[in-house]
Amino acid sequence: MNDEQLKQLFKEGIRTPSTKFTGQLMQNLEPQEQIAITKWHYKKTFAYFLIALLTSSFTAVIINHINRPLFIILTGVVAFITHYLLHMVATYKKLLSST
Amino acid sequence: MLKGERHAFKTIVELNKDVLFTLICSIVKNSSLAEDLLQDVFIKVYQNIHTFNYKSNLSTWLYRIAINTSYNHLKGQKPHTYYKNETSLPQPMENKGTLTKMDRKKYIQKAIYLLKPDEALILQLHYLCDLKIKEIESITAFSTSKIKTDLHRGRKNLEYALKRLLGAELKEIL
Repeated sequence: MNDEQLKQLFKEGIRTPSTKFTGQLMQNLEPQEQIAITKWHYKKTFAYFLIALLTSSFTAVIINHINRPLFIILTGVVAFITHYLLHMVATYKKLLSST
Repeated sequence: MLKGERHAFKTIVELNKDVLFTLICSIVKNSSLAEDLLQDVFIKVYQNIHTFNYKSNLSTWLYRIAINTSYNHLKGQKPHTYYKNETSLPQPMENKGTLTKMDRKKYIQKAIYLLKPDEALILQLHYLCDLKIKEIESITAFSTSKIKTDLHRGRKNLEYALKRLLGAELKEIL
């Protein structure tokens, strides 16, 4: 057999994985992306929570019209809203990367 | 791709999966295991694409990962039993006649399957992936003399296996 015949032979003998292969692979990649998004999500949430806390504290100190329970409630509300905003951003980012 | 775009990755998978699957099959000699290993290969590629430097072709890099993954899997495994004499060879074709495309493919795959992993791998890198001996050397870390010897032996063993499998029908394949 000469080189050309061998090349043809090997091209003809090429194997193919099952039709589900690529779909399964892309599914296997999902958890890794989710882990990355979750890490990013919590880091950002924590950072925004700190910013919210500091902003509220400074506002409370400067205005001096606010009592302690109201300050705690306001901080909680800001952190809660920030958390959900970030969750939405993370979901949107995931959607963008999957399209 | 470096930004992790999924569609770019999917294109790389679609373009390379068949050749990589064939290479892995030639080493592990088991298609379901080869498919699992190919999944591992692409996950490694996805995770480490940022380490790819543009000094070599992407396909060369993929071949190297596939080969290393396959040989690492084989480490500590029971060695595969290869054919040593005529009695262990499959029977030649019974129905003499025109071979269909699928039949040809099946017999070629069977003949390649009967080769030793190193021989099959080197032959495929040379003839299927169109790589030169130096390139095969850098991918597999085999010595030049081993590559040349395995190429020579592999060609002979492949021809022998095809003759045993197909008999007179071999002319139809060539």
